[in-house]
Amino acid sequence: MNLRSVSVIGIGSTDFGRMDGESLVDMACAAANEAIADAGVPRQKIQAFYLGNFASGILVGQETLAPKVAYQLGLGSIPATKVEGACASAGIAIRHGVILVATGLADIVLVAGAEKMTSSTTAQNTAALAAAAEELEYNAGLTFAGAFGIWGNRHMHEFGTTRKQMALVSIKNKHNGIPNPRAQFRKEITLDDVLESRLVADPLRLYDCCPVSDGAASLVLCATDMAREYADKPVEIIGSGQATGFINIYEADSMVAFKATIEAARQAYDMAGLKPADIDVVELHDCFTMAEIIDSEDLGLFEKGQGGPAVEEGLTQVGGKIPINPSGGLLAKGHPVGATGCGQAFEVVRQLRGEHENQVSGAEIGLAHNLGATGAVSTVHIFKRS
Amino acid sequence: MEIFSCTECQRNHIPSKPVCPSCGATEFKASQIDDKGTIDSFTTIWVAPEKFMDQVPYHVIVVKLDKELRITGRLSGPADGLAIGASVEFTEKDDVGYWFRLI
Repeated sequence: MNLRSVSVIGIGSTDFGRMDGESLVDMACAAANEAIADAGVPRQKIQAFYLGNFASGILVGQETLAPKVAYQLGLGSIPATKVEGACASAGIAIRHGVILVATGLADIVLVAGAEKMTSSTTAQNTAALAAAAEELEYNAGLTFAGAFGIWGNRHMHEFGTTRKQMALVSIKNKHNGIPNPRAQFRKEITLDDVLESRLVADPLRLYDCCPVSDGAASLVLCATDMAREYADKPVEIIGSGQATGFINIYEADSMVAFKATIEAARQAYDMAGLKPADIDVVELHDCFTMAEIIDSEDLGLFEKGQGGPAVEEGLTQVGGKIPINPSGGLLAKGHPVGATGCGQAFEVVRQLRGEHENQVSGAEIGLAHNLGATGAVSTVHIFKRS
Repeated sequence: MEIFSCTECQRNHIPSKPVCPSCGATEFKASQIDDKGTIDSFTTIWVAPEKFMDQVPYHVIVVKLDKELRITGRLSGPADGLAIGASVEFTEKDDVGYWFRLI
């Protein structure tokens, strides 16, 4: 089947953080409306809507979310569909939008992601997130931080990854978040801040963990051959991958790698005809410091086991060999779970338009990686400056 | 410990499965393996969902068992010596899941 090229012609995002008084639907509408305005596309031209969201039912008592958002946006009778894959929900929304445009079933598709978390308690959020774990591990009291604690201890055991290297991920990303007006956390932290913060799930401490956040982000996708009608700087999506991995820790083939990421990345690199060394800027799924180390290896940016030393050598800083999470990533920018995949794409598109607050000089190719649950699902998208 | 072997392809599973992911068969035969295993990795949970808050801190462990099986479970009893490679023994299975103690 011949697939059409797909481009991003508009982007929008709320700030990430604590958004008191803004409902989930309010935030999704704000981000999507901004993306539609940025594209300059008449809303009658939008032919479908995909919304990524994780736990609206548990966290704010709202379901059937996509039709509610589409209705409030005045999108008429177009199909509006919520997709869910825990923290990868919005990456999946992008993936489905890409498929619809690439196959020719639609020319213009709106995608968004949204989550409202700060109105719930830490225990409620921990329980909602833990619901993405397999039932056996959920019943055993495993949390998301706990899962990354288990993988973290194993990574340290197998490769000698150090506690300091993990902390340096957080220090780098918090530093990156400072110039980003959308970021929840915008101040420097020190090694002592990380190492003296309270334990969450050994070896992870509070500053190894992303914050609880509200937020929404959105993209307008368009067939590339029509993109110039609307956008001065369309950004082409040249690679797209989605894969399913293991749904628990105990049956997984590895405790130091995510099969879903490796497979989604393989699909995206193959489609783009590129290799990891061709990527100029990366936004990857750093829900915890150890996640960034593992992801950077799974995406092929470093050899397995070398993610820790790479951080310590400064290779992942802006100005380094391969800048990772110049937006601040989930650790600083925040992680409104179902919004994150679109938030990452928003940041990559700004990089490739050359208008990011923490610009990677000369960035032409960007990659966004989204990971859901205990490694159960991942999406990878590769973007190219036009 | 009770494991479940696919009657078609003989692949072993713990716990039981609705469908054998290797061959699609739905018949399994239960058998026993050694209660002893080694810790492949672990964490100590300090921030927990509400239903577990009264148990904090608690230890979640991944145990390597016979027949190349692994299971996620909880550590009961003293945690001195909790480390990757430490030997453990299965003690019981309840609503929380599989419980082990260090040996």
